Amino acid sequence: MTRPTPRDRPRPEDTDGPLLTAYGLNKAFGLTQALSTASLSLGRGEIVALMGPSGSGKSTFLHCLAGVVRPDAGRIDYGGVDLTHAPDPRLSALRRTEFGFLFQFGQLVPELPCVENVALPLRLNGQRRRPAEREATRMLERLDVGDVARKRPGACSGGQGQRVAVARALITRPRVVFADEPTGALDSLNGEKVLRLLTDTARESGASVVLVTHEPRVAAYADREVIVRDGRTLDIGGGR
Amino acid sequence: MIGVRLSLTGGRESAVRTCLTAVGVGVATAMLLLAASLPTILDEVGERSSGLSFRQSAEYPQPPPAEDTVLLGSALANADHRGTPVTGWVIEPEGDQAPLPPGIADFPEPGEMVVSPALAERLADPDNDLLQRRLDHPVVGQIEEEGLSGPHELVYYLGQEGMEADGAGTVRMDAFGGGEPYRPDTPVILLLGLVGTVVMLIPVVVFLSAAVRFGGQARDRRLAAVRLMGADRAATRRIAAGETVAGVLLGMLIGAGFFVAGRPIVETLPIDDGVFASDVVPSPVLAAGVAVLVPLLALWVALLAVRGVAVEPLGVVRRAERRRPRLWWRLLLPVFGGALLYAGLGSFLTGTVAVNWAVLVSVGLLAVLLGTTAVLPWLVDRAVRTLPSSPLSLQLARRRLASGGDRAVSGIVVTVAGAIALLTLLNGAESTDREGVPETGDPSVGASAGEGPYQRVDLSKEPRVEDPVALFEGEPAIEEAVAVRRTYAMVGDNGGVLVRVADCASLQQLTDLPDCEPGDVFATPGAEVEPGDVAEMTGTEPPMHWTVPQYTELSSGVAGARYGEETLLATPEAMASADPEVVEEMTGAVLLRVDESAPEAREQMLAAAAEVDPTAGMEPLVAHVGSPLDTMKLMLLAGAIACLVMVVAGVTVGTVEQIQERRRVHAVLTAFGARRRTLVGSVLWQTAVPVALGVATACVFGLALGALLLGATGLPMAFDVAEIVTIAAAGAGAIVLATLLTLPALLRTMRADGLRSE
Repeated sequence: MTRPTPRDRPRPEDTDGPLLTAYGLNKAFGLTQALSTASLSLGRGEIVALMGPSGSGKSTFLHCLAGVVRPDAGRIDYGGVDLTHAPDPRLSALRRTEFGFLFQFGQLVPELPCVENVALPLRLNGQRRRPAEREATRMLERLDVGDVARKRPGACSGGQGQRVAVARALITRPRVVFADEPTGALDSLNGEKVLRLLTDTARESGASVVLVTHEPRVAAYADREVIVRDGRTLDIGGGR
Repeated sequence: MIGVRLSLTGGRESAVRTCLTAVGVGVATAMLLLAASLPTILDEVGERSSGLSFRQSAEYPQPPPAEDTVLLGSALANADHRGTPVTGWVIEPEGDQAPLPPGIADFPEPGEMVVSPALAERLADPDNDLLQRRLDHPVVGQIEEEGLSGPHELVYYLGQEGMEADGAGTVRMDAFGGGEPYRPDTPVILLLGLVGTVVMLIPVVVFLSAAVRFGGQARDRRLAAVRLMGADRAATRRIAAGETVAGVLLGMLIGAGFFVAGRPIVETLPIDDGVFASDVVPSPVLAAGVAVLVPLLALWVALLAVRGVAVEPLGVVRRAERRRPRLWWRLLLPVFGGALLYAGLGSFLTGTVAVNWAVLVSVGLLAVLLGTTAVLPWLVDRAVRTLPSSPLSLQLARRRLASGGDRAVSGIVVTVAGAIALLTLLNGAESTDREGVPETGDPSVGASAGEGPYQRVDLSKEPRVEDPVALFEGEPAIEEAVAVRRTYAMVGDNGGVLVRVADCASLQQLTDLPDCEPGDVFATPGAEVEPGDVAEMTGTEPPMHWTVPQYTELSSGVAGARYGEETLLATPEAMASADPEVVEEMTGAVLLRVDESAPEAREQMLAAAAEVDPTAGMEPLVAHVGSPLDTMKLMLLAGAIACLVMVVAGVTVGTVEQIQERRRVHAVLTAFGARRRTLVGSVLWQTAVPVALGVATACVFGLALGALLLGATGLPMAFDVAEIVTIAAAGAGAIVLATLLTLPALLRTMRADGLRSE
């Protein structure tokens, strides 16, 4: 019996409604109120930039949206599933199949070659090693980093590493990619390349992107901008 | 499989980490396999001892002479070579079908020898010229393993002719073997063995768990990354287990290799007669236990480490705020262990075995020793709260100290506490052992038991030389030789008296006599015998009798004689009333006053004795030959050193790893201008505080445990402060050494290139 691939699995109904909705999220770390009634609605294939100064709560908001951090109050709805109350296995399954992640420092596993890093989400999903690595190699080539497939992340440049991270985020053809300051550790040239690859590939596959940044230059790649300040959100529209 | 792959193909760092784990697990596995071999070793030793039972006892009544009998007599009984016992036998087959003693292929011809390999080695050494003189016979063969109790045993069979069975010195045998196998049956020895095994195995297990945790922080980060990609908690645990499995399985293979490679080394260990490498075979049940328990323990430790933290997609967080350690429950474990120990020892000593005493004692010991480590975090916490905030190095160390007791220090604490408890028990057992040892009047003869300032050589009825006294006196180290005949005589219900027969000149040498004429008899003070009593001479068959004549009572005894050795000193003429052959039947002996300070004094005496009579008997040594307790003490020290070496290895690797993890912090501190000595000082503080507290705790708990064991076994309290300080200092030194070994790694994190990575 073969296990279904992410693409075969049932997905949220393809309706006109938003893909991901968050209402009134509160989150406190000790005495620090990181989020206060933060809200967001993310459309299918939409790229939204979360903007705001350092410490405004934008990363916490992104982590809550992705089901990585549980908010203290509020509700996050993804395809009819309330992420705030979903059990850990359900959230893990979502991260494996529906969500992709991209961080400032890549979060690649340093012990594994790039191709195995990219194939890892597929393998976690039950796919066999060889087909998973074939698919990963294709993805790396598509992102113009096929030559580093057998290298370990430590042997790659910052730009190459971040493109490998993009490949890993997109390999499962996720519905939503959560990117937290994805170009924060790169020079502007490499940052531009990575952003273009991320957004172009996401658009091709119809994935939505939530992009945390404090740089207007980065936010310009988004369809819409949401300002986060003192844990509150303000949708200002705009973007590209 | 992902976990296995992460541990095997993760580049240099991953390979190093897996290798360290494997080597650590390998060392622990080898130690456990060695412990699992103890029952086999005891069985094999017991089996051989059964074959060698002729050394202790002979068949009674003696079989008649036949084609299938052999005569066997003791040669130079109780002799030694530089403190190691030398067992010699004279042997003569009485027919073609005479049984061969175990381990020899052919009977030596008269005047030829078959020797053990260890003795052959000594005889071949040109430095042992006095031994060569003592055993100046051609060597025609070697004794195989089954004829020896161990590889270091010094034994020989000397071919002889014209032997006569007397049922005592020379016996007739028609078969060898069939005796009861030797089993250690002394309660204290059994207890020491059990306590020693438990005490030595705990650090092995601590080391094993430390080895499994090598690279723990890097692993946590990896797992967090995997969690981010969608692995749930169960999958994360499986990956963590998979990572451990590779190192552990590799480690078990390495451990089996270490064990096989290390077996020959066991033969070289200076433990009594030694252990043959071929005896070191793990008991199948225990080996299977090791094969199952090591991976299970490793997996349990790995999963426990994952459970102790919450591996979340964004990283690893501690499950809870560290609470201030409480003392009361930490004391419960040692108290519970003490109670179990007391109950176990009680049932062991009284024989009222409701539950297996060994289980109670083992669990009790485990609880006490592990309880000792549980107290350590509380002590460290208290100490950290009272420590001042300066100097800066101490302030930097405080945060790390506040994170609790170091596991490596726990290993030291268990080793030191266990070793102190064992030493205390050994000293208690030793002090009762010493009570049976005679006090000699002359310190120069502390080496042997018996004849006051003299060492005695018992001769057979037909010594090779006419004038043994002259031959002995020709040796530079022998100051005086006195020929006597001696035997114990039983007198009515009064017990015994030692009767020494010699001419007046010889008797005068033994003690101050007022006047001596042939026919005189003298009695030392306390000799409970009256003139006219009939004394039955022991050692003669049939028993011979002597009517004690009038004697002169002496005001002093024979110099240095023991209590209970009241003596009648008689001239040969005074024995006229005895059976005619009584004097001939009495054991001929030469009493020697040896200059113990002369080089090789005892060797000279033994060489001369062999020349006089190869079947002579020596007095047993007391001080030269170690007791089983000395051997156990030696084994304990060796075991403690082995444990400390393991702990040092574990601490070094663990600390280097910590330093690697903190290299950014160190680089930042260096950037801020922190001096090297401040950072080095902070690392030393982090080590010194828990180690000092740990060693102090270990001393207190070790002494208390030792006192409990002594009290429960009814042994006298005996503490050797010097030994305790030595063990404690070794424990503290081990950690200091480990810290010093990590300094190069620390200094590297403070170099300019370390800053550049910042």
